[in-house]
Amino acid sequence: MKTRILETPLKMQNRIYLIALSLLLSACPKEPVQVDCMPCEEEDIEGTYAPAAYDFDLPEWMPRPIIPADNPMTQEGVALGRMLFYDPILSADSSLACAGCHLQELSFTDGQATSQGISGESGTRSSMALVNLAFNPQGFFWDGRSASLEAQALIPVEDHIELAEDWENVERKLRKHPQYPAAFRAAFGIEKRSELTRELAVKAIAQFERTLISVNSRYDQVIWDRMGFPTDSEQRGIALFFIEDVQNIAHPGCSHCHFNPLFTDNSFKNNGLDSVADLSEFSDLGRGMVNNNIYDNGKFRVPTLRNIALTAPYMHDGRFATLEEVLDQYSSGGHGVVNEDPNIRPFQLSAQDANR
Amino acid sequence: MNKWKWSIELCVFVLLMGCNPVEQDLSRIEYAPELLVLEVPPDWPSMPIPSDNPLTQEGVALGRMLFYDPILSLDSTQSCASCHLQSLAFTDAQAQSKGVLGLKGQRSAPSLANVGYYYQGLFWDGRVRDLETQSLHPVRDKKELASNWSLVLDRIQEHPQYPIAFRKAFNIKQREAIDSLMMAKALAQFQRTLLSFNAKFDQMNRGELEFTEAERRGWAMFFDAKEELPHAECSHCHTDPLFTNLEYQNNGIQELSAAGNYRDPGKALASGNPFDSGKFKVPTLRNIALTAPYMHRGQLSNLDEVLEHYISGGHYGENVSANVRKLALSERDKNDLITFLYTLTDSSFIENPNFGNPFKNAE
Repeated sequence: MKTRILETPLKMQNRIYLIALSLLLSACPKEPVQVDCMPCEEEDIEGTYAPAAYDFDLPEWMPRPIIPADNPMTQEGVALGRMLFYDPILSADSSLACAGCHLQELSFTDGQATSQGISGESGTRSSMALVNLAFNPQGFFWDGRSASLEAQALIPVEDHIELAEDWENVERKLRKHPQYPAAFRAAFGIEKRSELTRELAVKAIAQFERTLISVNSRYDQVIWDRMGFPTDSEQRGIALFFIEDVQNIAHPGCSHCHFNPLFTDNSFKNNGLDSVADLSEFSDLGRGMVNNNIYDNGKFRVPTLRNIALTAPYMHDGRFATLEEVLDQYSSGGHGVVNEDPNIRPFQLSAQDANR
Repeated sequence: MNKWKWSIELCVFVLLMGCNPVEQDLSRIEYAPELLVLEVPPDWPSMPIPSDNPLTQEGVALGRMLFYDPILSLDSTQSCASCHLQSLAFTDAQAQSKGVLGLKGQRSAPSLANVGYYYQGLFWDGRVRDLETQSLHPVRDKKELASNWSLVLDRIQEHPQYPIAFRKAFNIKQREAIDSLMMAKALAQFQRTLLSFNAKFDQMNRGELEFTEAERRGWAMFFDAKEELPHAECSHCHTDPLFTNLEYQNNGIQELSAAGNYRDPGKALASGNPFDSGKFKVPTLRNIALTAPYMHRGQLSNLDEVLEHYISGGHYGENVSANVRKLALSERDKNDLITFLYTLTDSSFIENPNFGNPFKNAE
């Protein structure tokens, strides 16, 4: 698919100014710029390379972020990744960015059960919250099929029900862009436009995504930062969520998988959503599709519960519209399918307890 | 004109060279730490000291500097010592202390006397395991020093003296090697030296002094020692010699809400166990006459109110300590108990020059 970039008059004007400017700037010391090959792939990129380390400044009660040795965090890399994350240049028709399905105000989800790509076709799974990804050692996507955030970021660009572009074309667009080559140079020290590659683009996106850290909820403020005390209702909710084997207290057992401080154990579980007679009958095989282990059929990533009130609808396919429906599902105790997590057991909550 | 300009530039250059504050290569400075052995009474327990942070003269001296240096706070206005004053047995006479942002803490600054023995967690709710971990908290706490580690470490690493002091205490080679854990280690070392065992009570035990009649009566009631005197049940939790058993107890100071919760759940916030709700660390009674106001939030302003609380038996709660119950103490009994508590004041502790502000001494 070829690009259909709509040049607005303003953009055209900008480009003319830019060409004029670069002509002026390069007029004295250099030979005249050859307009027909501009920007030349082998031309040196103007700009400096002096990356500054990115400081997470995490509270001591959080785990340490997992940073691949070949992609250290820099302020320039994060800034570039942020540009790419919000830039529809990564999609075939420049209509959709990563941020199209990952909206900051919804904790980087999109309020949809399943999201539409540029063609209007829907995916099969719900857009995941991008929260505290830097602490996940166990692969990305609902089924964990990408081992790293770098590998993950490659996929939506070429997925025909997401951005439906191809990376070669993205590289072409980025190389001739007025800002990106200098930003890539600032982040990764490349010297020529031809060195601007998809590998570097996903490294930058991964760096930006690793900065999406949520550690300042009311829970953190009360439990960790000691800014006030939990209310009566919150104290009861904390007990229900975390406590096991206490008489006279129902124990839903949430924290077996959704534990502090990430509120996920980053594992893959069958949480008892679907009743199947045979493990091969799940409509979405989930984890089992990645590793071909039949006992992993129907298993999906345990999602974080941080900002959970913002990320409806719920489950990998967005089947539940509200948290009440989610609690109803868990209290029913699953279907007894052989690989259901043993912590999926029926329990009873009063309506008041459910509200906590 | 030109001449002047030159000489000024030369002056600046010479000045910069002369006071170049930070030694780049610290390995030329000698690292020869001198181990420090704490002197404690022979019948005292041995202090639990982590094997990776032995006490050294250099480490303690560094920790003392850090303890008294407002460099640890966001705006360089407060140090650890701002809420832990030696003259008040390292408390600050406030119910809840204010940090650099003007925010009030949730609980009262506890005494640091003999804090090195606290092997069952620190803070009122025991949320940290040891002094090394504890020392990391107030620096970042928005209600205390409200700073952050990158700021603090920048200041310390660029400081004219600290890199050298860290070299001598911890064998670092470059100033960049200074980190928050190293700072916490030094602070922990200094705090382990804060020993108080020379109160009138100790002198009486050693046979150096006699108690007065009132002190003796108070002592007997405190330790439930005499059948003919009422038992005040204090020493179940405030055990000799530390005058705390280092446990967490609900002493009935808080009233339950209608829903059956405590406003400050205390230990339960740290342990996650709802049956720890309302429990707080049993504080030491050493120097207790200096550490008003009392209880985890400074609810009671003097020892008289404390005694009244225990005489009343406190508020109901199913996990209130069995030793907190209505007491039959006369006015005289109460006064004698308070008189006894005054014998736990250790003036040599609050006057020990080794515990004071090192920057003041240097003046």
